[in-house]
Amino acid sequence: VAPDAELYIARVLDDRASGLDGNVLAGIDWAVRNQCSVVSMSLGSPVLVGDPFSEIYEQAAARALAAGTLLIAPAGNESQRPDEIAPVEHPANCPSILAVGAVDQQLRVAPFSNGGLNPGGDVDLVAPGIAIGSTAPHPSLYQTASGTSMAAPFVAGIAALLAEARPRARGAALRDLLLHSALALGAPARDAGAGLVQAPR
Amino acid sequence: MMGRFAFGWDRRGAAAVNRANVAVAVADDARDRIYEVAAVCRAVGLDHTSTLTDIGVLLGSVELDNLLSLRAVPGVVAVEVEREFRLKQYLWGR
Repeated sequence: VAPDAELYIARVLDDRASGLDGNVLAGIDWAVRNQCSVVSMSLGSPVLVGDPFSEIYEQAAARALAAGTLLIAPAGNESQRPDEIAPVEHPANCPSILAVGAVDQQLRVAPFSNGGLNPGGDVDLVAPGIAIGSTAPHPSLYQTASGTSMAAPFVAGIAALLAEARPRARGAALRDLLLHSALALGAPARDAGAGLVQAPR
Repeated sequence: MMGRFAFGWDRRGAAAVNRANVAVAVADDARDRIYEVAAVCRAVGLDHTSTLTDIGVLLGSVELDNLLSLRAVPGVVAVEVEREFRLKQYLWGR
């Protein structure tokens, strides 16, 4: 998506793709210290309807924004639409973290994609999240995968393109550019937020 | 104040059912003295392991009985028990 972006990689999950808050917070702190403009973190922990967002993550994300670092996270995959919609999970449910839902090739909200059910825990944008080409462990090396974890990096990549095009747009200004340039899909804001993320022309 | 998931294991992996790993948020107006806040947190029982200065967070573990004392330390605005994360891949799509 953004071939000229400079990548900083922080490992915060283990070999089973799980990890603890402390590692994730340390990774965010490291990214802020290294002046990363965009942080893509495809991880999360489910919450229930009525659960508040984490004050710790909200404070961390707000401080990151103020320092010019935009955090982007998946909305989560706990829904079974149309029957059941689960709330945007932790930490994407923090107001200062950009929450990304998933759509399919026809731009329909993916059946697993979580929705904005809790105060502050809105979906901000959507991006492709079904049958996305990705890397895989040896020996297959490549696979297709689905999930809001596949959608969030599209938004991160487009944020990087916008950051390259607008060197002074960082933090909240970069977030606002992403939101204001999104393509409205006609889906409820609860499910798609401002709409489909759009790359700069 | 706290996450929903309390873990009965400390950072060293030893069974300690009365302890929890915690993250402690330091107030904006106390960030320039975060090490002083950390010292007071240690005095009320925080086994302090990391100081994340750029986001104003302390990491460590604490006995559950001391959680309220930790939250009451001047300059502390939130204490949350650590929770687990997973990569968010929807498995049927593999």
